[in-house]
Parts: sequence; C-alpha cells; structure tokens
Amino acid sequence: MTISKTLEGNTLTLALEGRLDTTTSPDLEEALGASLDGVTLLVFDFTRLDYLSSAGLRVLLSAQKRMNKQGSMKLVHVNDAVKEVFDITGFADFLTIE
Amino acid sequence: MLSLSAQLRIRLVVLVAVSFGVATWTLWKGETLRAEKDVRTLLEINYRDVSQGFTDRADYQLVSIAREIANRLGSSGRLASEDVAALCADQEIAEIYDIDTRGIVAGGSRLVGEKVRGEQWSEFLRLLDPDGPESMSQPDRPRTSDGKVFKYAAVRYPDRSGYIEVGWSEERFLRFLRQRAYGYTRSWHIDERGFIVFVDRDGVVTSHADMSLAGKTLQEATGLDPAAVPTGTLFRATIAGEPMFCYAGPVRDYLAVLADPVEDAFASRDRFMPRIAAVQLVVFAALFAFVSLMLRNHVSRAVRRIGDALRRIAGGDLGGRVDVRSSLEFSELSANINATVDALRTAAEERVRRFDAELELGRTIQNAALPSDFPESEHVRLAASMVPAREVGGDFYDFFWLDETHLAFLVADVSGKGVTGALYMMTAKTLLKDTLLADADRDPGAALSRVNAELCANNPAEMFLTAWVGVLDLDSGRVAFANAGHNPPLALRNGGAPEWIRERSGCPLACFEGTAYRTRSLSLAPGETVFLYTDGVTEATDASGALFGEKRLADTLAVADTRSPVALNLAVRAAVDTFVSGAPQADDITLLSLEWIGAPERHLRTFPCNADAVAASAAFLEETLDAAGCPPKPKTQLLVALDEIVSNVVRCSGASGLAIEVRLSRAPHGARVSVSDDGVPFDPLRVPPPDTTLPPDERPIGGLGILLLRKTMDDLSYRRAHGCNILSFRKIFA
Repeated sequence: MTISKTLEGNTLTLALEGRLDTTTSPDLEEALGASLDGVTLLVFDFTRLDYLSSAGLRVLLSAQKRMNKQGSMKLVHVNDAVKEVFDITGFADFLTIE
Repeated sequence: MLSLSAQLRIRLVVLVAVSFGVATWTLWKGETLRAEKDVRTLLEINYRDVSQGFTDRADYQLVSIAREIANRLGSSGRLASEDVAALCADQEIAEIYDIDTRGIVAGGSRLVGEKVRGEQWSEFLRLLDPDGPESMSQPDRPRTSDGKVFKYAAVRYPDRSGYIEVGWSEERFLRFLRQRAYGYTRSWHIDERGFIVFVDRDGVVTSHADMSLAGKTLQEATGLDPAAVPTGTLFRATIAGEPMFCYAGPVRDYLAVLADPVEDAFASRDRFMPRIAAVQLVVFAALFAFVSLMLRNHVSRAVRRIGDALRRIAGGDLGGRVDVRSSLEFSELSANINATVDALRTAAEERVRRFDAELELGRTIQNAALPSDFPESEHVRLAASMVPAREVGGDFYDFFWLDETHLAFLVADVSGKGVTGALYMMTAKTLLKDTLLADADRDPGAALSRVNAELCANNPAEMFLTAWVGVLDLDSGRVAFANAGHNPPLALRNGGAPEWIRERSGCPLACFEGTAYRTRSLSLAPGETVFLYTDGVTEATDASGALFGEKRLADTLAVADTRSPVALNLAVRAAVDTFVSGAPQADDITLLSLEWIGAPERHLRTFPCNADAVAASAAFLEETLDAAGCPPKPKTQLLVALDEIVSNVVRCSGASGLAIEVRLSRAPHGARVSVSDDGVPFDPLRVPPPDTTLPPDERPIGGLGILLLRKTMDDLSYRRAHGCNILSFRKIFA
C-alpha cells in the first residue's frame, strides 16, 4: 500500500492506494501519528483503495476518536467493497463518508 | 321362536274366531228375542180374539133372538101382552119389550106404556134414528132399577116402526157361556200346532184341542197349576213333554191358557241361523285372508327389508341406508335407524380421523426432519427420498458435511410408528449427527457405538433401529461405513454388475448395551455410486404376497439408463410401483444414492507462523483465485477473510505453522478456504458479536473480523481435529 500525504493549511489529505489490511495498517498508523498535530480536517481519499480489513478499521476508529477532539474527519471516493465493510461493522454510522 | 308374521297370524285367527263367535251369538240372540216377541204378539192377539169371541157369540145369539121376534112380529103386528110369556119361554129369554117409534114401551114384560128411560135402555133409542144401526147389544150389567144383572140386545123392525128389545137374566147368560166354554177352542189353532186351553174357575178344563182332556183338571191336562199360572205375560212351560211358549189370561170367569211349541216359534231362527253362520264364516275367512295378506305385504316385508338393511350395516357397511316407507311407523323407524347409523359412522370416522391425525403428525415430524438441500458439489452427487407408508414407518435418511472433504450419509429404520416412532427417530437422528460431528476421527463405527450406548441408556419404549452410516472422503473416494443390522447396500461399479456390500458391524442400535460397532470401508472409483435403501423396498409386496426382493432391486439398478442419483432413485421407485401394482404400501420406502464424481481441485501450502505469514498467505490465495478466474469482489472478500483469520492466528495462537488449503469448485463456481494451525484451541466463532451501534469512543476494537466473515462468506465453520484448529470458509463467486 502506498500513502500520499497532502497538507493544505490545517487540512490533511491522505490518499491510500492498495489494501488496508493487517500488513499495511501499521504503516497508516505510523503516518497519522506524526502528522495530525494542528490538523482540523482529516480527509481520506479512498479512490484507489482496494479493500480494508478489521485492522484498517481499527486505525480509522483511532483517527476518528482523535479528530473528534481537534476537528473533523471525512472519507471521500469510497468504493462498494469498502462501503460494504463500513455498513457491516456499523462504522458507516459515525464516519463521514462523501 | 315364531316369526312375527306367524305370531300376528295366530292373533288374527283368534281375533277373527272371536269376532265370528260374537257376531253369530249376537245374531242368534237377536233372532231368539225377535222370535219370542213374535210369539208373544201372536199369543196376545189370539188371547184378545179368544176373549172377544167368547162374549161376542152371546151378543150374536141374543141379537139373533131379537131379530127373529122382530121379523115375526113385523108381519103380524105389535107384541101382544098375552104372547110375552110364551115367547120368553120359547126363546129362553127373561124379558122382551116392544118399543114404538116414539120410544114408548108398546108391549112387553114390564113397564108397558111408559117411555123408555134409564141409561141402559136409552142406549137402544139410537135404533130409532134413521141413520142409526139396525141392531145393538149390551154387555151384561146390573140394572139401575133393581141391581139384577141383565144382558140386553135390540133389533129394529124391518119397517122401522120401533124395535124389539130382549134380555137375558144373569143365570141364562152364564148358562150360555158355560155351553160356549165347552169345546170353544177345540179347533182353534195357533200357527200349526199351538192351542188354547179353557179352564173354569174350579180349574177344570172346559175346552182343549184334545177334547178328551175336557173335564180333567188343568194340572192333569197340562201340568200347570191354575193358581200359579202368571197372567198377561209370556212364559215357558213343558206341556205333554214339549216345551211351549205360554200366555194366560182371564176370559169372563174362565182362564184361557194359550200355548205354542217353542220349536215352532224358533223354526225360522233354527232354519236360517246355520245358513247365516255359514255366510259369516265365509266373510270372516275372507277377512282373515285379506288382513293376513296385508300383514305379509306391509308389515312382514317391511320388517324383513329393515332386517336385511340392518344385517348389511352390522356387516360393516355403515354407508347402508334403511328406506322402508310403506307406513308412517316404518318411515320413522327407518329414519331413526339411519340417524343411529349416521351417528355411528360419524364416531367411527372421528376415530379414524384421530388415528390418521396422529399418523399424520408422525409423518410431518418424520418429513420435517429430513434434509432436502442436497449437497451442491461437482465432486459428489446425492439424492434421497422417503415415501411414508400409511401406518408402519420410522424411516429416515440424513447427510451432512463433517468437514470440507468428508460427507456423512446414512439411512435408518426405526421400529415404531406414529408420534412415538417419529420422536424416537428424531432422537436417534440428532444423536447420530451430533456424535458423528463430534468424532474427530470421523469414524462411523465409533460413532455408532456411542449412539448405541446412549440409546440403550434410556429406552423405555424398547424401540430399536437399524442404520447404515457412511462417511465419504471426497479426496479419495473411500467410504468408511458401519452397518447396524441394516439392509446391505449396493455399490454400482463402472462397467460391472451391482455389488452387494454385505459387511456388517453389529446388531441393530438400542438392542444390546455395550455393542462395539466395527468400521469397514469400501472404495469408489470416480463415477461410482453407493445405493442405500430400507426394507420397504425389498419387502414391498404385490397382491399375491410376493416380495420385491434383493434380486429385483439389483436387476433394476443394473439396467438403469443413467447413474445420476435422482434417476436411480426414480428407477427403483418406478420398479417397486410397477411390481406392487396398486397394493397398499406396507412400510416406508427410503432411497439414498450417492455418486462420487472425483477428487476436487486442491491447492495447499504451509507457512511458518510468523508476521510474514499474513502477506504470504494472501499472495498464495490471490494467485490461486486469479488462476481460477475469480471475479474482483469475491476475491476481495476472500482476501479480507483470510487476512482476518491468519492475522489472528499469527497474533494469538502461538502456533508453529499454519496450512492454507483452497478447494475450487466449478458447479457452483466457488472456493472453500481452510486455515489450519497447531496453536492453542480457539474457536473464533464462539466470540460474541460486537455491538455495532455504539459511538466510536465506546467501541471496543475486536470481533469485527469474524463479523465481516459472517456477513460476507457463504459458509463458515470451525472444528478442532488432530491437534489443529481448522477454520474454513466458502464463497460462491456468482
């Protein structure tokens, strides 16, 4: 998986490409940990994300919890396979998906 | 016992006889009374005549004397005084008077020149009346002048110049009567043989039909006591040895006894009664015949018809009706019998219905317990059917996957029927399935031994069952089986006759505690079939009692056009149906055919259990799925599923290694992935599902992976065998 980071003012956009699974989610976790200071809007661009597993969900949940304290978070360009995972797990209820 | 008809006829005979007796007696009595009345009337009339005639004769005598004198004087002039005495002496009369037209005594015994007066004499003045009678007479009576009893008569002169009146003194009159009384009635007949007896005041007979009896006393002549003879009424007496109707009455100083033979009085009755009786006899006999015929037609026949109908009903024909409508009573009786029979039939049907309902409930349980979703696999084909019999039954079949490569299949026959049999069957079926699933070695013999122990431990109804249980190894075509007293199945070999699999493991289940069932095996080549059945097939019976038998079964299977399990079952079913040709099915018929098509396509790789295993196993799966032409979405879902399982194993199990097996199927197009590891026993499927409705801050992380598997996979199972956790999931691509 590759992660592209773009910071514009207080908005951090992460574009993920590939699979967000057990193997790759630690990379995302690491990428987020260093970059969220001062960010008020976190955007995940899932245009090129093939799928995610529960390991990825755990990272997203953690990010959501943090952004709830310092701003907001949204997901854009979510494909069907990923959307299905959010629906099944109830994440669709609290994630902002555009 | 006499028939109703005979009894009625006897009563009818008695009734008719009594009626005849009463009618005849009444007629006889009537005739008798009429005859008595007639004879009484006859005797009364005769009495009146004899009584009248007795004194009339005196009047006639006296009038004759007066007429003779009048005629004589009428030609010679008035009565001269000097002639009176001579005339009186000559005519034996006491007095004579010549009365002229003025009513003055012109001459006579006394009172000459005086005018006729006094009530007695004045009556004769009517003779002077031009329209008056020519002669008159008076009964004897006391005269007003001196109280002497006289009897007078008078006759008009022929030239109407007055009349002659003559009188008898009492002595003269009585003398006349005495003369008259003697023989007065000797030729007086009543009817033909009746007669009159005259008796004077001394009881001496003066006149009798037999005058030789005159002068004898009445007692001597007739046996009657004159003092005791009733008068003015009819009585019976025997005179001269003959029964007589008698009537007695006074005539002046005499007693007249009239007698008429009883025999003559009843002559008419006695002559006609026999004829009338004969006629009546004919009439009553005809009446008897008529009523008897009616009885036979209307009653006996109706009773017989009702009897016939009842016999039919008693013979079991509850649909029979009684319909005798010859009379109101029989209509009612018919209706009552029909109502009773209807009630009986309703009750009988109710019982049959209840019995049927129980059987039906048993069948429903039995049917509901049978699986119908036959395995969809291109490696094995299975078809099974159970046709329940009406009463006897308790067959069942079952099949289920023990794991990805082992299919258990069985046929069993419980010795019971109805609800009890069905419940026992449920117990046995559940036990068999649970025990087989729980057996790590998938050993049917061991499973049967445990099931037997369990069934023996609690079997109050003392039921038992036969069972044939097989476990097919999909990879090798080997069938491990155990046979607990069940009919031997057949193996349908490629290019060979059906082969009986007669090896047995032991007696039926639930018979003997502690029985150990041995596992045996047979091998199938790809395309070969095992055919299981219950004794409902071999013991199917035709109308003549012949059994379908093993040979017919083997022959049927040998000539079957196709080896498809469904077709085989249908062929056997059709052969059995043709054989019994409509005879009722005595037992359940259960058929199960299993065909091993061949080993599935398998891809297996093992990995050391470390952090690299997640990525390495994903790569292996992706490679395999791509080669199998798996579409992107199911591939993604399978990869996510594998990621969840393998990451979990790597993280938590402490296993040294893990194996990934991928089985591909073409019909339906899909894949089954099994992940085995030798780590600590752990069944992730038992982890309770997470609450997916909680807000993010409260959410525990964990359990989401299994949730994803549950939602996206078509099948998911865990088992522990040979020291490994085996989690397997399946996805159909389409």
